[in-house]
Amino acid sequence: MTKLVRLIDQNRCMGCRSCVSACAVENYFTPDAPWNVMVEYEVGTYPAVKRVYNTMNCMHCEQPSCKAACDAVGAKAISKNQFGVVLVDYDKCIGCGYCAAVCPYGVPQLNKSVAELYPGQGKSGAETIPYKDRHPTHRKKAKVVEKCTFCAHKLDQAVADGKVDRIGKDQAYTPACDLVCPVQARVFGDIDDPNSEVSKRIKATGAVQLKKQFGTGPQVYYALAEGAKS
Amino acid sequence: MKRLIAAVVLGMAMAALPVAAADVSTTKPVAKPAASAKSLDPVKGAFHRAHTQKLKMSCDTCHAAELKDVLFLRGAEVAASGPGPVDRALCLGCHQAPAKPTWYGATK
Repeated sequence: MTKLVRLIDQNRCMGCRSCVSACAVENYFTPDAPWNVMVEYEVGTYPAVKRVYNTMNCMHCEQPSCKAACDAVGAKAISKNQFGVVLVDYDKCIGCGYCAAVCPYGVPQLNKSVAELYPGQGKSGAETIPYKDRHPTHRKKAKVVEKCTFCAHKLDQAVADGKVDRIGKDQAYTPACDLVCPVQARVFGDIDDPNSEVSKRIKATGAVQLKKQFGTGPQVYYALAEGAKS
Repeated sequence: MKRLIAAVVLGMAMAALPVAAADVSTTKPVAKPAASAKSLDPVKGAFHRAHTQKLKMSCDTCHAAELKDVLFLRGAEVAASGPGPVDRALCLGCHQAPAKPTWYGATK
């Protein structure tokens, strides 16, 4: 089995937001419905204070509360694929917002309208791809829920190319946010492979999942900075 | 003899009926209709009614003036005009029974 996870090392992150920008360009999310967000806060007591940078995207939980809610209302728009990635089917989503109501991380974004990445400046980059040629996760619709997909279009390409073993290693098969980090604070890969970079780094840093008390089993791990919230 | 044959044929047909019915039910499942977006309105929908009307919970049981949980991405979603956001940690006060495919677990 291949279970894809992400490690975010807060001890390396310097809050540059390259990951946020890369996601915006790669997935051309509507600015009001971001897929990747940088959260900043301070810890400590003056004068011994410091800033924590906690970038957040979908946690792709093993027991996703969003999926449970979606199934319960009968829409069944949310699924988990063979890698454990949680995906929203825009054609099935009824826009009820219950997934957003129950996600402990506030991840699902109900996209009220499809807007350009740079409003008023026309389409840019991948936004110019014809709608029918886009990956299903990029066929944006108004009044449906969107969120991070672990760059599912790249993962699907790895499957199509028979290169699942290169996920997290090759540029073409690795999420955009993880590729651009200038300080290697983000690692993506297969946690079921004990020799993968992500497995080793999670073990070496003692990384943990956020908000474990909710029991959703997130597939994003954080190497916490001293005093950071979890 | 004709009656005997007719009875056997009728019996075989009757025996096959439940199987046929099962086949029909598996090949043509009756899809559960998705709830309408209107009925699932976060404020007027069943989700909110269950807590406010059935459980008689007051607004401030869940809604706070501000959300102190920085690790929640939409903390300001209803703060402007509504009674304030909901700290999802409060949900765990009731929804914690394990091994149930609900939000964070069935109610205790």
